[in-house]
Amino acid sequence: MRRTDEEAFRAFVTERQTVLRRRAFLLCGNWADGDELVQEALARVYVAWHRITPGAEAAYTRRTMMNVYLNDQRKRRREVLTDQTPEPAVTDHDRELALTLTELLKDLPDKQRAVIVLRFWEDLTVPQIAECTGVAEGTIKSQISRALAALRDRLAEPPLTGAGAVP
Amino acid sequence: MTHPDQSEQQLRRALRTMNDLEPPTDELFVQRAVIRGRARTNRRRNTLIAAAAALVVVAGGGGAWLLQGGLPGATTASPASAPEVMSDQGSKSGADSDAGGSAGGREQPTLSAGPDNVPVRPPGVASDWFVGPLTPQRAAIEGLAPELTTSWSAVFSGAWAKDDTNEHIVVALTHPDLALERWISANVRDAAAVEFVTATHSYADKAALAERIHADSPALATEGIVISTVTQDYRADRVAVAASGTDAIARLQQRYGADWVTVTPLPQGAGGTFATPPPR
Repeated sequence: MRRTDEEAFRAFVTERQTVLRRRAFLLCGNWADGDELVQEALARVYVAWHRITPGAEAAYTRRTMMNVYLNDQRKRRREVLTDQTPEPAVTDHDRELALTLTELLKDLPDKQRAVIVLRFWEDLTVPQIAECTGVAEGTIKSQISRALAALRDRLAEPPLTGAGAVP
Repeated sequence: MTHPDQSEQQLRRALRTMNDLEPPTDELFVQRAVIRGRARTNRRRNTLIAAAAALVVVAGGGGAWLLQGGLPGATTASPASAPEVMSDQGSKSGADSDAGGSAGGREQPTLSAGPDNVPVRPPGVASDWFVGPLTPQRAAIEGLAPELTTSWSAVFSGAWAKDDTNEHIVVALTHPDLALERWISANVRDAAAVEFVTATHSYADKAALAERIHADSPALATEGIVISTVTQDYRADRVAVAASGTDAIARLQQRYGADWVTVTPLPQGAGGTFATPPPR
C-alpha cells in the first residue's frame, strides 16, 4: 500500500471506528468479539483499499464486516459458547444499555440479527441490505418479518431505558 | 399483540440507544488495524510467490528430467532462483548461493537430486524462518509464526536458531512482554531453550519498510540502482537488500536509514528480478 493510501486508510478508520465498533457490538453482543470482528474486516479492507472506489469505503467495509461476521458465526457454532461477556461495560449506565441490547437481540439467528441491525439501526433499505449481504430482496424481507415476529413479545415489554424507552 | 409498524418503531428506538453507548477506550485501535492490514497483505503476497516458486521448481525439475531423459549419473539443472546442492555418486558438490540468495541472512532452501534426478526439497530443511533440522522446537516456533506476525507484529521482531541444531531458539521482541513470553514458552517443546532478546525494530515495521523498498524499486532503477532481493534479517534486526548500482550501499542507507537496512552490493547488471521471496 502506498503511503498516501495508508494515510487515507488511517483517516478512514479514525473517523469511522466508533460506528464500526457499535455495529459490531450489536452483531456480536460484546465489545471484545465486536472489536475483533472490526479488526479482521479492516485488515481485509486494507488489502483491497487501492481497489475500492473513492466514496465507497464505508459500504465496502460494511459488506466485509457482514461477510466476516456470518462466516465466523458459522465456524463458531462448533465451539462452546458462554453467555458471560468478557469485559464489563464502562459505566453502570452503559452496562445497563449493553445488557438491554444484548437481551433484545439474543436468540435471533445470525442472519436475522445482521439484517435487523442493517435495517433498523443503520436505516438501510431492503435493496441496500440485499446488495450488502448478497442475499435476494425477498429473503431479506422474510428475514425481517421473522425477526420482528420473534422480537414482538420482547418489544411489547417495557424493559428499555434511556433513548430507547418505550413511551 | 403489537402492531407490525409499532414493532418496527420500537425496535428502531431500542437500537438507537446503541448511539448512547461509548466503546471502551482503545488508543491503539487504528494502529492495530494498520498493522493487521500490512500483515495480511504480506501473507497474501507470500502465498502467491510461494505458489509461483513451487511452479518454477516443478517446471524446472520436470524440464531438466525431460531434457536429460533421466539418465543415471547426469547432473540436474536447477532453477535459476535457487541455489542447490546436488548429490553425485555419493559425493556432494555444491554451488555457492548467489548474492541474492544469501542476502538477508536467510538462507535459501537447498535442493537435492531425488529419484530420476528430479530436484526435490528435503523435508524440513528450510523455511521462511529456519534452515536445518526440523526439530520439535523449530516446528513449534514456526507454528506460532502466523500469530506472532499478525496479532503480535508490533512487539515481535523476529526469531532465529542459536546454532545449527535448531534446538535453541532466540525470539526478539521490541520490549519485554510477559504475556507474550509466557504464551511462547507454553507452546514450545522446551521453554528453557527459548531465549528472549530485545530488538529495536518490530516485525511489522520491517515488513512495512521492505514493502516500501519493493514499491520504490522501479523508481530506484531509473536512478541506476537495481534491487535484486529484499528480505528481513531477523538476527541483524534489519531489512536486507541486495542491489547493484553506483554507491548503492550509501544511497540506500541514506534513503532508508543506516540502522534499518543492510545492503549487499551486487555486480553491475545483476538483479532486476526478485529472485528470493520478499520478506514475510
